Amino acid sequence: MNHDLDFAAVLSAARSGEPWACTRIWSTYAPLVAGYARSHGSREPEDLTSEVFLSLFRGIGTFTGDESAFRGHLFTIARRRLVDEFRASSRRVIEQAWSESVAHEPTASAEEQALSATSKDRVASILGDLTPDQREVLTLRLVADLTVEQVARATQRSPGAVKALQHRALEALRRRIGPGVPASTSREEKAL
Amino acid sequence: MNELTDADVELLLSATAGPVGEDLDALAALLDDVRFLGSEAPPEPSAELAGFLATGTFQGPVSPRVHGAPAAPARASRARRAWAGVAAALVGALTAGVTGVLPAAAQGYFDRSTSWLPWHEEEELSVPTDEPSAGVVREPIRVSPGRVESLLDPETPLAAVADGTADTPQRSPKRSRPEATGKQPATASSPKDRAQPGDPDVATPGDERPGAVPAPAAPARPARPDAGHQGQGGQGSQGEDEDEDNDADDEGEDEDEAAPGSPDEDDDQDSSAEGKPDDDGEPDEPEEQESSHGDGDEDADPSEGDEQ
Repeated sequence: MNHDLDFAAVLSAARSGEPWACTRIWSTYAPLVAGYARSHGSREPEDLTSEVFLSLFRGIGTFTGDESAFRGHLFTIARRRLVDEFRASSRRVIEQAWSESVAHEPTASAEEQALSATSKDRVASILGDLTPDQREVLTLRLVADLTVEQVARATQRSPGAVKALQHRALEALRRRIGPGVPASTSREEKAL
Repeated sequence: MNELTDADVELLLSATAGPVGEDLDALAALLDDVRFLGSEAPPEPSAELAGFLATGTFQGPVSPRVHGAPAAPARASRARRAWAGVAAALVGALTAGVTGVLPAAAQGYFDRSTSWLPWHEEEELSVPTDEPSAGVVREPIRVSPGRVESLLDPETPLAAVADGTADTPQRSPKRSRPEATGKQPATASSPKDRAQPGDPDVATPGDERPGAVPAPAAPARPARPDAGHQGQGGQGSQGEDEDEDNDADDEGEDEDEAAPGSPDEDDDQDSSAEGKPDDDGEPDEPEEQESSHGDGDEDADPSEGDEQ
């Protein structure tokens, strides 16, 4: 949030339907929500982000709290929408109409695809190796910038469980990117 | 490689992370890339959200679940309620066609409209209009019981109903379904066409007349599995087809006046045979009694004979 304006003033104006306040909230938090959606492999992160903010603005009149609580409230909505999308996509078959232009469209070779891969794709690939719980906790901590307690409330877990998940996630990432890392360095495997 | 401590974890996840150890540099860089996922420009809002951001109000209808508005009654629900009265009137009319009693509600419907239901089985009704339009002469509609019965009979062709040729009272509730009575379907167009022993042209054992037709030694068709115990009864009713309707048209509407020996009389005998009064040794009811009861065949419950 741009702290030039007090968050409470922006929130109060947004409750009364001031377009500038709603636009300010959107421009501040929409990138975070979109990044959170992308990190979880959302098919349409932009649409999901819009849906999240529609829900947020419809219920903003009943929200009370500071900026930190608002952030936790926002990502709680985002998490629910993401779960809904995954459930819907698991039941839906994605169909794409065949067209002549698409059929003759040249596809990039494996080398070209590797060269054109951005750090975003690499990050997404690495995060994909984590378990869903680890990925969720890590992205809420890093992308949404939530505290352990806020993540615990958003994911309906205890703070201790959140801490354990984030620890295991970092250990897994460390093994993933570190060459020659012994496999028995994590706490989980030692405990076993 | 040393194990990550809680301090390392907090340092790595902190947004203002300072320098970390050499062995954690790669991991810290990766986490920065993860943070970068949320630092892009805002995505393009959807049309609905863009409208809200421009005006501060939601455009168009909002789902009642969000705002708690009472849901309007569905169109289908209203249509069902509207048709409920029609269905009740129709059921009442069907009931009245059999028993001659019309429910009050249904009677109100038909009193206000042009009636086509009989109030009595023996007389034709003249339904006068209460408020005849000026200059318009309305003829009373004459309805006979047989006509109504044919109208209610799903087997009656619509064309026959339209031109009035289907005006027959000869059918009984059980004669139209051979499965229910155990009768076999007709093998000839009329009973007269079937050769029976005793006919002049039917050969009897030992009869060697030239041109004689051999007597049938077995049923023309194998007995139906669902024929049940009634099996062979009702040969006379097998010829129940369009010929009966034509006969009924020729002979009038009173089935009790059918000539002896006619196919219609065979039908009546079969109906009594299905009720099995003869099995009990009781004499057949005179036709006058049947007439006093009205349509005896119609009043008889098809299931009663089976229960006996």
